[in-house]
Amino acid sequence: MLAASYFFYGYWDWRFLILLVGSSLMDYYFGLLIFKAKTKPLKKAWLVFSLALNLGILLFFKYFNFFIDSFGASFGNHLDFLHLHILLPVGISFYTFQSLSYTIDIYREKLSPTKSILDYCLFVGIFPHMVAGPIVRAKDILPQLASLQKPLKNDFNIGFSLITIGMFQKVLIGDTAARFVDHIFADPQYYSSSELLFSLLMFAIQIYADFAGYSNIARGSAKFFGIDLIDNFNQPFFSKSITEFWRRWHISLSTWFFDYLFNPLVISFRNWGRFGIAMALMITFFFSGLWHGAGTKFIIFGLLHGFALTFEFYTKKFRKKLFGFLPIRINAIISTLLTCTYVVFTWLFFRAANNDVVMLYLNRLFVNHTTSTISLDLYGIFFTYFIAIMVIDYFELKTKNHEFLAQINPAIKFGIAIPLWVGVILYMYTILKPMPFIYFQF
Amino acid sequence: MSFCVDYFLKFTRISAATLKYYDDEYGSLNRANISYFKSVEGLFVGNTNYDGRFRENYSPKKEDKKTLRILLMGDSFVEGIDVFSVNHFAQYIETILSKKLNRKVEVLNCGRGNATIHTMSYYFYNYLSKKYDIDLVLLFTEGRDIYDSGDGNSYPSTFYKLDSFNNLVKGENWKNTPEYNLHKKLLSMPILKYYENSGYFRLLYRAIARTRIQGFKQITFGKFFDAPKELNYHNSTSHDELSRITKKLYDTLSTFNKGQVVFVLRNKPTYTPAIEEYISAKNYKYFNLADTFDDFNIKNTKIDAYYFKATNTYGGHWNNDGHKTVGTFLANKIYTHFNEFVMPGYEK
Repeated sequence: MLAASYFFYGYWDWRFLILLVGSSLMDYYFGLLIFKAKTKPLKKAWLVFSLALNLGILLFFKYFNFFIDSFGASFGNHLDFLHLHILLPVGISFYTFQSLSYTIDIYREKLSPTKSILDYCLFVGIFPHMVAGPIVRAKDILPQLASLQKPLKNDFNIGFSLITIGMFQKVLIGDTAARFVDHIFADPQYYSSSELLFSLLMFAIQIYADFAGYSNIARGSAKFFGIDLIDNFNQPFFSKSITEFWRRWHISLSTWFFDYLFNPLVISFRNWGRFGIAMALMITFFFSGLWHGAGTKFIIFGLLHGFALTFEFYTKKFRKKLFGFLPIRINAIISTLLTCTYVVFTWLFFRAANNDVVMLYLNRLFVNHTTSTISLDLYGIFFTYFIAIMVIDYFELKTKNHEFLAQINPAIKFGIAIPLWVGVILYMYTILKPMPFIYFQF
Repeated sequence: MSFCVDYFLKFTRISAATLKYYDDEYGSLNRANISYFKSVEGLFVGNTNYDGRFRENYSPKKEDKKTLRILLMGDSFVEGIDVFSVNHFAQYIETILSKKLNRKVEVLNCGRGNATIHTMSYYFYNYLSKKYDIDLVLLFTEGRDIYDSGDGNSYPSTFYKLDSFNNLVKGENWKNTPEYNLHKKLLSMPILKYYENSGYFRLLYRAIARTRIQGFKQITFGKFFDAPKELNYHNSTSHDELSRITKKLYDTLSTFNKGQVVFVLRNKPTYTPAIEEYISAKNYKYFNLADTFDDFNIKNTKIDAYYFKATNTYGGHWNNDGHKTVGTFLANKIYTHFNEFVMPGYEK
């Protein structure tokens, strides 16, 4: 399985396989060194060394050019000549974070290092989750790898249902939504306010379908080998607050930041009271934004979410008092709409190629409104996508899991799965180039 | 469930409606009143009108005699379904010219993908010129026009050819093509009439077409098999001479409506000096788009008029910037030369 995973990764570019293997070996030995160190300062020293190396590699590949640009801009110089012309290794942010959690957990004595180097390499490099998550924890995966058994019939059933839903989300929703998003974001000056808003709404559909689709495919593929990966999404667009949104969106990343950054920060700032928590939130979301990409726009994206969480934290009681008179359902609908609106707005910073595009969107959306005759067509298209997304989310919500397809009568299951697969396969044969997963770039 | 997915495929334009149909008289034409979508190079979302044209819905006869009616003839460049209709160059001509002339300007976009002068002119003389009020024709020429289409035609439409007395006669060879006969046979089978209304069938049709171009192995197994060379845009110059039929068609078209025809010369995809030489020697009116482009770029800028950022392609057509440039250029040219046209009732 390790060989298959490495083949899968190296298929894209074999040179980055060296990095993956090197990083895995390094952290395996750091884990042992931390565990075996007799004194706390020595454990800490090994941990710091491990963090410095892991983050150093990540900084080098992902953030070097960004820091050079930022440094140059602050002195009014263009330092483009210092740029590194290298490709970003696929999934580097994901597997680096997994490795970090392993060494930190050993340092915190929450985990004992594995004795099997192969199991560790498989934990980091197992193909379903390696390139775009979910960011799994060693404590969840290593025991499963150590006792791998022949998958049960039901594992295939669950795996198939997850992959079916994931493929539909990724190929027929995410990739096809991108046809609109990419064009409008590439040339926004030629589109009216209503068309720009459409592109933003479609991006929300695209990124959700793309990433949730990937996560379902990853979980389904792992299930074929009898391995359980954690849920990464939990109907995020039903969230009634931004705080709740981050409990439902990219759950593995949110919990990683919660465990390894937010909680230590809260402890450090404990003397500052509520302000300390607010600071911890802002810092956490600053880094969460930066994790997504090396650019100011990702930092703004993170900070906007940090700001929203801080706002919700400070005004929780006040809001309850202010809107308490509303019936619960009405309150929930309004809260959900407000949350979705804010989330969609923040996606603008995430998706826009540069600050000029952001400014143009903001201007057309909030200042100079224009409309066009084809807007009705476009919103009809958006609505169709929206219904498709909501139908899947509704069934997931009702059954409280993503494997709802596995639980129904086989005749009905195949009655649903076959038309979906036919659509997916036919579409894949019509396209010139397959669309990569959005989160591959991270 | 199949019906749900089928509707999803249609409503989201994943399987767009088929644009073409076969007319008994003219061959391949655009279908009327359909929702159409294209995103291979740029993005187009819109509908055809009652006559299969894009962008406008003007009635055949002018509602106000003072309205200036311009008809565009050409191939896919003119049809322009790589940009939204509001960004098509026809829209710029209407907006700029109506402002300058202080009267309503209506531009009919009669461009059709893959059409050449041989097919265009047949459709124009036998259909468009009879049905529509036209004041001015902008006839877009291009490299493929200069050849003698002979007895056949790459585009399945009725075309003009020359008989032994140098007269224009109708050529209908497209009716003998296996493709047309298959199409007729399929449509005669009742079950396949569902084809036009089925998202699955349309998708299947496109999948087969793509597989034929790219190869089953390459699409299925990707990297293990060589991909066919990407269709990309290449500069080329043709030094071929104009064929007899082309000269005859240019001469005939130039006299339409007392000479209210302007040739528009394109520098791409194939720069063909013979067209300009012939037209200028004959003193026909023409605008040369090479005056507003520097190779791929808009003149005196670094803005590429042919590159589609979202798809990272040079498919061969104008992008939004290109349409804006062409529209502005043509509107200004028409305005500058307005007095040279014989159009009673139109004074600046």
